[in-house]
Amino acid sequence: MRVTTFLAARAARTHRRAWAAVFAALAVTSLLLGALALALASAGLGHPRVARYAAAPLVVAGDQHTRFTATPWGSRPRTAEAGLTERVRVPAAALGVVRKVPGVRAAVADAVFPVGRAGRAAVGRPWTAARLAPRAVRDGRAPRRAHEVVVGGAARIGARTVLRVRGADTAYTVVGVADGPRDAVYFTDGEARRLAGHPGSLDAIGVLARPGVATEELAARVRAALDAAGARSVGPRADGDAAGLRVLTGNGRGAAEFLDAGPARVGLLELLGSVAATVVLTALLVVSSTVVQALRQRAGELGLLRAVGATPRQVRGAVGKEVGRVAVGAALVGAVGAVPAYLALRGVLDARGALPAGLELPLPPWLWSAPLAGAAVTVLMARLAALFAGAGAAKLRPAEALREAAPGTARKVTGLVLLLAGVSSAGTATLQSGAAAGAAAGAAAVTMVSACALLGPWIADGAMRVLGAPLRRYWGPAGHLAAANCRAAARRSGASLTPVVLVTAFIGVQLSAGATLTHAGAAQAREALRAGLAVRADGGLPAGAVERIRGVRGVRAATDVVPGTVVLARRETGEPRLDRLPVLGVTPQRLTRTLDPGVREGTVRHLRPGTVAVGADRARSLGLRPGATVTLRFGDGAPARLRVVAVYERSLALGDFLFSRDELLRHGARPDGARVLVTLAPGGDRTALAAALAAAVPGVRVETSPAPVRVAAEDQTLTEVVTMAAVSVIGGFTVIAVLSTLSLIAVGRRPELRLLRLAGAGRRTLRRMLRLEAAALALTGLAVGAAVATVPLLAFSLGVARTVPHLPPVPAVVIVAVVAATTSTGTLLPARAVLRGRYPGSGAAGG
Amino acid sequence: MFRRRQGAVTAPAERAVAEGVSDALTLEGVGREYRRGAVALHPVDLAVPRGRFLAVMGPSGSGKSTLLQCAAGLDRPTAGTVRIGGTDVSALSEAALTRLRRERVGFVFQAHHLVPSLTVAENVALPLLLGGTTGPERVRQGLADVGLGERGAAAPAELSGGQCQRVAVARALVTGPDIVFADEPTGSLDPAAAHDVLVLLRRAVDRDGHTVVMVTHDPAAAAWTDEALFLAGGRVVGSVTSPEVAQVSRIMRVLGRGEGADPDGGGARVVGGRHAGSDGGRAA
Repeated sequence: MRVTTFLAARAARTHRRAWAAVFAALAVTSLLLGALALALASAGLGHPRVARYAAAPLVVAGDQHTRFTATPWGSRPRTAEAGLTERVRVPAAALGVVRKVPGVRAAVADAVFPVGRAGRAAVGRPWTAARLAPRAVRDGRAPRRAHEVVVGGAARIGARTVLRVRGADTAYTVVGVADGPRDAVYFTDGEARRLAGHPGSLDAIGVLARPGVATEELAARVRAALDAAGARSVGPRADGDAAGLRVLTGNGRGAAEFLDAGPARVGLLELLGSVAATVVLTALLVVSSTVVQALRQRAGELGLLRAVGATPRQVRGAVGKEVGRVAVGAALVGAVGAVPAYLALRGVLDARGALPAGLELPLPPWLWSAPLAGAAVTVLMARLAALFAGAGAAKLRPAEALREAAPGTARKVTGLVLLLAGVSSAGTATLQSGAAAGAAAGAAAVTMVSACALLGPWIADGAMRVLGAPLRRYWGPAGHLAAANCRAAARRSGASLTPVVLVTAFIGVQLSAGATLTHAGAAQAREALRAGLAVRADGGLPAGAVERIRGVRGVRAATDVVPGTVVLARRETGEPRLDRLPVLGVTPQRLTRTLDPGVREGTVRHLRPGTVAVGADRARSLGLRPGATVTLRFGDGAPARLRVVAVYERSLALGDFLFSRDELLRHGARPDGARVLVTLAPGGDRTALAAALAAAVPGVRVETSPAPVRVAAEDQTLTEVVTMAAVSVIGGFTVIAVLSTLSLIAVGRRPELRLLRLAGAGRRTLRRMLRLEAAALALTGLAVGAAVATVPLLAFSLGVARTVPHLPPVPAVVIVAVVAATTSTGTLLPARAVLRGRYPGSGAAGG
Repeated sequence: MFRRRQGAVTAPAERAVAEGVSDALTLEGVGREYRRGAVALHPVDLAVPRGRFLAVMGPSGSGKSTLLQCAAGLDRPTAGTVRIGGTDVSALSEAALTRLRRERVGFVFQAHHLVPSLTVAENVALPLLLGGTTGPERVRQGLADVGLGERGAAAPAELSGGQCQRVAVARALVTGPDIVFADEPTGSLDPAAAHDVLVLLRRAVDRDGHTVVMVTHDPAAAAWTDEALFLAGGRVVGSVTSPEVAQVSRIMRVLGRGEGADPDGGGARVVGGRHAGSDGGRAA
C-alpha cells in the first residue's frame, strides 16, 4: 500500500487550503478532549486534603459510604455505593483495642464539633488531638483546666471569651494561641468530650507509630485487631450495609476530615464524563460533515483514479492517509492548547468557589501528557469520517462515482430511524430528574441533529419549496438564482444546514433546560415563602430560640428550618441506585404561614420524628400516599422507616422530602445552618419587630427581606460552572464548525460564481444572491433547530418542572444574532475574491 | 522513496499473436437501462478488430458515452457481454477488473485529465504506480513521444489544456494497452491542440498497432479515423468507413434533426441493430 502513502502525501500538500477547515475543526476537538482528559485524570487522582492528621500515619474512622445491593433480572447481584456527608462515628471501645496493638506508640481520640465564637462559626477539638496535625502553641500555653482554651486566630492571652456550643453559651479564658487554622478552638480532653455531646463515641482516632514500624504493617495489624474485636461504626445501618471501621493511611487520611470532598469528587467525575460524551457526539457530527464536504469536491479526481485502475481499497487507503496526515497535525496543535484551556477552567472554578475546600486535585508532571489521549481520539474520529466519506468515492463503478447521484433511500431510512431514536430518548428524559434529565435532553437533541444531517438534502429541498416563491417574487434575478442554487445542489445545501441546526438546537436546549429549572424553582421558592423576616447566627442559634421568638409580641408564626441530607435507595430498571438528596427539617407549628409547601394531600401539622412529607413528583414515582411507609437512609447512613403524613407540590424549591427538624438534627445535620423564618402578625411593623427579635435573642442577625428558601445539592455551584463552561465551549465549537463548513463550500463554488459573472450577472446581483442564500440558510437552520430543540425541551420541562420551557429573551436574541452573523460571514467572505474588481478574469489555467 | 517492482509490459500485437484473438473489443447485445425504465442504450452488437481507429458519433443523448463506459468497464451494462481482448469483462471480480483497467485499457477523459497533486511524469506513470510496478524508461519515452519530454517535473496547473490532454494520452499508452478509449478528447481544445492530440492517437494506431475507440461530435476529428459509427436515440443507426469531414457533418445534421428524416443525399443508410457497411468508396 505504499502508493497510497505517496498519493496521500502529495494530495495533502496540494489541497492545503481545503483542508484548513477540517484542520480547524479537528484542532478544536482535540483541545476540548485534551482539556477534558486533563480534568478527568486530575479528578481521578483527586483526594481529600490531608491537614488535620498530617502527623499521624494512621487514622481510624467510621465508614462514610452506604451501600445498596440488588439483583437485576438474570444477572449477578450489583452494589451501588454513595458517600455520606455527615459524620459516621467510631465507638469509644475501639480506642482501647487500638492502644493494645504492638507498634502503636499512642492512639489519640478526636472529637470535632461546631462552636460559635463572637457570632462566627468555629471548630472545637481537644488539644491533645492538635498534635496530630501537628499544631503547636505560638503564644502562651496548652489548656490545663476545663474553662481554659487555646484559639487559632489572634487573641489576647488571658482574655475572656463566650463560646456557644449546641445552643448553650459558656465563658472561657484564652490561655494560648496556636498556629494553623484561625477558626479552631482547642479545649481540654475532658471538656471537649463533654461538649461534643456524643458519649461513648468519637469522631476519629489518630494513631502514632513507634519508631521503626512501617506504616503498612501497622495498618494491617490495627485492621486485624479491629476485625477480631468486631468493632463497627456507631449507629444502625440498613440491611446489606455492613459498616466496619476504616483504617486510613497516606492520602486517604483526608477523608476523615473533609467529609464532602469524596462525594464532590465522584460527582465531578460523573459530570465530566457526561460532558465528554456530548463533546464526542458533537465532534463526530462536525468532523464527519467537514471531511465529507472536503472530499466531495475532489470527486472528479477520485473518479479519475478509479478509472485509471486504482482499486477501491487503494482509493480508501489514500483518502484515509490524507485525512490522517491532516488530523495528526491538528490533533497535536489542539493538545498543546488543551493545557491553558484546562488551567483557565480551574481558574474559573476556584474563582467561583465551586470546588470544596478540602478537595485536592493534583497535577503531577506526567499528567500533562493526558491531552495526547484526546489527540488520539480526535485522529480516530477523523479516520472514521474518512472511511465513511471514502466509501462513497470508492464505489464499484467509476462512472457511478463521477455521476452526482441523488441521495439514496438508505440515507433517508437511516435519518428517519435516528429521528425516531432521538424523539424516544427525549421521552426517557421525562423519567429522569435534575441534571440527568438535562443530560438526556441534550443527548436527544444531538441525536436528532444527526438525523437532520442525514436528512439534510430533503429538508433543504422542502425549505426551498416554501421559500422559493417569495424569493423569486420579491428579489428579482438575485432571488431566482438563489432559489435555483439551493434547489439544484440539494446535498450541498443540506450539508451547510447541518452545523446551523446543530448550533441552534444544542445551545437552545442547554440554555433553556437550565433556565427552565431555575425559573420554575425560583417561582416555587417565591410562592412558598410567606415569612417577612429571618433570624440566623453563624455560630448557631441558642437553645430554645424558636420558642423565645414565638413569645415576642407581633410574631404570628415562627419556623426553624435546618438543611440536611438523606440517601434514597431505589431500583431503576432492576439496577440498584442510591441518590443523595438535599432536604429540609422544619418545626411543623403553623408551617403554612411561614413556608408553605403547597400541601395536596394530608397535613403537615403532625410532622414529628418518625414521619415525613413527600414531594408530589417523588410520591408519584415511589407510589406513596399519606399513611404509606417509605424507607430512607439519613445523612449518617442510619436507616429509617417513616410514615408519610402529607404530599406537597413545591418540591423543586423545598426538596423531595420534608422532615421534622429534630429528626434531622439527631442524624448529623449541622445546627449552624439553621434559620428561623418569622411571619408578622397582620398590621405589624417590620422594623420594630426586627428590633424586638434582636433583643429577645442575643447575638443573632435579623434579615428583613429574607432570600427564598431553596434546597441546593452540595455540588450545585460546581455543576453550574462546569455546565456553563461546557455549553459556551461547545457552542463556540459549533460556531467554528458553521464557519468552516460554509467557507469550504463557498471556496468550492468560486468557479461557479466566476462563470456567472462571465455570463453577465453583475456584482451587485451576485452579492445579493449570496446574501439571500445566507438568509434562507439562516432562517431554515433556525426554524429546524428550534423544532429539533423543542421536542427534548418539552419532554424535559413537562417532566421535571411541570411547566412549558422557558427561554430568557436575551440568550434567544444572542442565538439568532450569532447564527445570522456566522452564516453571512461564511457565505460572503470567501466569495469576495471572485467578486472583487471590475474584470472577472478567466480563472486558473486548465480549470 | 519506496521500492517498486520492475514489471514486464508487452506490446499488444505480440499479445494478440500469443492469445490468438483478432478482435480488441467485442460487444454482444450490450444495453444499459436505468431505474424507472429510462433506456440509455438499446442492445448493441459490435466487433472492433485490432489496429483499428474507430469513432463513435451522435447527437447529445444518443448513448455514445454510455456505450464507451460500458465497453471500457467503467459502468455495468444491464444486458449483454463485453469482451476486451477476448476476456469476458462481466465475469471478472472487482480486483481483476481493476487490474484489467490498469494494464490492458487506456482511458482519456475530456475533463479531469490529470491528478493535480502529482507531477506530469508521475501522472503518466500512475497506472504503473497503482500496479506496484515501475517503468521510468517507458515514462520518459511516452512523454517524449507526445512532445513534452522536458516538462516531466512540471505540475499540471502549469500546462495548457492541450498539453494536459497530451499527457493524458501518454498515460493511456504507457502500459501498452489492448485498447484505448477516448471520451471527447478534443472537446475543449482549440484546433491546433486538437490536431496534436489526433496526430498522437493516429500514430499510436499506425506505428504501434494500438486500437483506439474515440467518442466525438467533431467531424474534423472523425476524419482522422478508420471508421465512424453513428448512434441516435440509444441505437446504432449506421457506420461509414474512411469518413470525410463533409460527409460526417451531413450525417450529424440529419441525426441532430431527429431519426427518420430524409438525408440530403449520400452518406450511410439508416439501419437499426447491427452496424452496416457504407455505400462503398470515398465520396469526393
